[in-house]
Formats: sequence, C-alpha cells, structure tokens
Amino acid sequence: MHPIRKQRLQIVVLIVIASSLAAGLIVYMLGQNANYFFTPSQVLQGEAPKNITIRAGGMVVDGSIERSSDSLDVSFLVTDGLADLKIYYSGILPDLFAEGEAAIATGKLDGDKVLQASQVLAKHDENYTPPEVADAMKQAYDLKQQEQYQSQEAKK
Amino acid sequence: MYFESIQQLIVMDGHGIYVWSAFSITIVVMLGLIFKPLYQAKQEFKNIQLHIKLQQVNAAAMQQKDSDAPHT
Amino acid sequence: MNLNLQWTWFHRLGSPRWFYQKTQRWLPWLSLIMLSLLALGLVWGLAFAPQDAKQGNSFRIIYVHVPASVVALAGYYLMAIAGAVGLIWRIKLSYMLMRSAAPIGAALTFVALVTGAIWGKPTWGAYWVWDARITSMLILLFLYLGVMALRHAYSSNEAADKASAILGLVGMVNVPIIYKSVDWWQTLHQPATIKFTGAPSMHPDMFMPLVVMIAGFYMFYAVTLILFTRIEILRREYRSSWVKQLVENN
Repeated sequence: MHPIRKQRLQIVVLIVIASSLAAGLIVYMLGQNANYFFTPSQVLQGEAPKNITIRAGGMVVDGSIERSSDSLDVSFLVTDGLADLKIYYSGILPDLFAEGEAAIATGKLDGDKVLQASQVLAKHDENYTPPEVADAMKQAYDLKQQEQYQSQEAKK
Repeated sequence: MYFESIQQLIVMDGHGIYVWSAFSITIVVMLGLIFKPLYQAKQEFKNIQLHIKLQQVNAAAMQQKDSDAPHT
Repeated sequence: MNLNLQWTWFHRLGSPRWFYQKTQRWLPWLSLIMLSLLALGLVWGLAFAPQDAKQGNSFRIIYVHVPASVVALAGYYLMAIAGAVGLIWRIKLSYMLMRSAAPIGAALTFVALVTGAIWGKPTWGAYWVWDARITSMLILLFLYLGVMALRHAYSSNEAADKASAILGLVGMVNVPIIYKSVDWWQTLHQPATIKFTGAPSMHPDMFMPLVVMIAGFYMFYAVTLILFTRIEILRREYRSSWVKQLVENN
C-alpha cells in the first residue's frame, strides 16, 4: 500500500479505537448507575432510595392480584425468587400483564417498602408460539408433572 | 388463511389498528424511497441536457466572435 | 512484481461509469426478486402465520419491525465502511455510496422506531419508554441525520465527504451497543429472537415469513442504494463525456 494511504488507514483505525474506548467508558458508567432499576430483594434489603422515582420489577406472583371492585386500583406482588415486593397501581394494565409474567413498575417507595406505581409495563420474552402449540406444550408439561408425581407416589 | 374471514383479518381481535397502521407506515416510507430517486433521475437528466445546450450555445458564440474579429 | 498492480481491480470497481452501466442491467432482476419476496412475506405474515399465544395478532408487527431494524443496523456498517474506504483510497464511488446510504438508513431506522412504538402500546402498555435498546436506536437515527446534514455544512463535496465519513466511523461504536443493549441492561425490550448460535426462539410457522421479509428488505436496500447512488453519480460526473453521451442518447 502507498505510504500516504497507510497513514490514512492508521488515522481511521485510531478514530475507531478512540471512540470505542469513549463508548466503553459510558457503558461502564451507565452500568454502575444501573438506571435506577431494583429487584424486589434489593428493595426489601433497603438498597433502593425512598421518595425518588425508581423502577422495580419481577415475576407477578400467582394469585396475588387484587383488584378493587369500584375503581381501577390494583395491587399485586412481584418476585425475583428471593423476595416479594408489593406494588400499588391505579390505571389500566397492559394486555400482557398476567400472573407468572414479568412486569416492570415505575414509581416511588413509601415507608412500608411498598411501591406506589405511576406506570406498570409488561415485559415479554423473545419466544413466539402459536396458541395451539402453546396449549399442546402446556398439556405435555402437565402430563409430565403428573407422571413424575405418580412415580414418586409409587416409590413411597 | 389463518383468519376465517376478511372481516377478521382486518379487525384482528382488536389489534388490527396497530398492525395495519404499522404496515401502512412501513409501505409508505418504502414507496417514497423507491420513487424519490426515480423522480430525481428525470430532473437530473433535464439539468444535464440544459448544461449541454448552454455549452453548445457558448461555443457557437465564441466561434462567431472569432470569425467576426478581423472585420472590427 | 509491481505492488500497485494488485490494486487495479479495486480501482476499476470504484469507477462510477462501471457502476452505472452494470447496475442498469442488474436493476430489473433485483427489483423482481425484491417485489416477489416482499409480496410473499407480507401476505404470509399478515394472513397466514398463526397468532402468538400471549400477544395475539399484535405480534405480526414483527414482520416489518425486525427487518427494518436489521437492515438499518447493517446499513450503518456499510455506510461507515464506505466512508473509511473513501478516506483511505479516495475512491469517488465509495463516497457516493456513503452519501446514498444515509437517507435510506435514516428512513429504515425511523420505520423501526415507529413500528416499535405502535407495537409497544398493546404489549408493554406504553408507546415510548426510555429503554436502552430504544434510546440507542434513536441515537442511530441522529447519526444518520448527522451524516446527511454535514453535507450542507460544507460548500465543497470533498470536505463534506471527509467530515461525513469521520462522523460515520465514530458513530460505528453505537451499533454493537444496540445489539447488546438487551443483554447489558435491565430493559423492557425482549432479547433477540434470531440468534447467531442455536435455533431461533420462534415457531417455524412464524419464523419462515420473517426470514422471507428480512431477505426482501435486504433486496429493497440493494435496489434503493443503487437508485440513490446513480443519482449521486449523475450529479457529480455531469461534466464527463460518458454522462453527456448517455443523456444525449436518451
């Protein structure tokens, strides 16, 4: 390669490296601040600040959704497997909000470590399945559970 | 077809408004990206034709000037 | 052997005239493939693919959202690399490709953001969330717009091309950030469905039309990039004899 072109190539490589380093640093700093997202166990251990808008989320606990009969008020528990966080919310919940699904709430913590949410969003996973297949999968899963249960019973 | 009728295909259990608006916006933008350069190509051809004509007129004028020169 | 000899093919490839004449013949075929793929993918995705067990029919937006995003990201690499080639080898065609890639990439990024917002409303419960994936995608749109705007900041093509190429290269670090944002941060956006390793987390009946749509969008990108670049060639090479001949024969 021509020496001048070689020099230009070096400059280009230098630009890419320098900007990558700058971006890497920004990513690292953002990771440190973790954009105010807290898991239920972090909240209950007192790691989350009070009266500041934070985001918290986890899996909605089965049977924990309590709806008010005369208003849009709703309360439910979210869990990360270690601790349960209670969330209060008043408003319409998204279509995908359901027991056993992930939800992320934005709001402020009150004194009793309960999150007063101003927004509740449903998070969904990257899996896509047709309803019939999902039903069949669920049936197969239930059947397997049943078999396991029966074999355990038989062992006893 | 997955849907039982055209009516159901349009409504999509209430999600139709979201699905159809997303698809329409996409198609409009894509059509724009195709037709904009096609239109510009026509314009550019006209511009270049004009440029060529102007050059020819200039060249002719220069020649005229040269042949006129000895008389003045 | 003369070292320069190895690079002659590279420079011939960079000839605007060669590009203009070749693409004249390629365009009808590329357009035909593009139209058939897009028509097949649209009908398949909208009317024949099964709905999602959880999201219902709103998931069909994936058939425009994902292809637009994938091609917008790949297009950024193309634009940045074309800029780098222009900076190093001063190949005219390379700068023309870079200039043409910017508006197409910006439009596709816009489509990805808008269709994502429309999809977000029924599934997440909000049109817009300041989520890492969405924010980094917005930065991509600004980078594309920046490359487009820099042209007007300079009176000479050469200075504008150089500045655009440098901005394009600096912004390239944003692309892997967009890819990995769903893994690095706690985001609302779901992780990638199509993985580099392993099977896609999508039922084949739903995945096949998505593959067709992505292929269709790539063909669309090729066709529009060629169309935009041909305009750029006419604008910059109007003084050359082959362009004059072309216009006079038309």
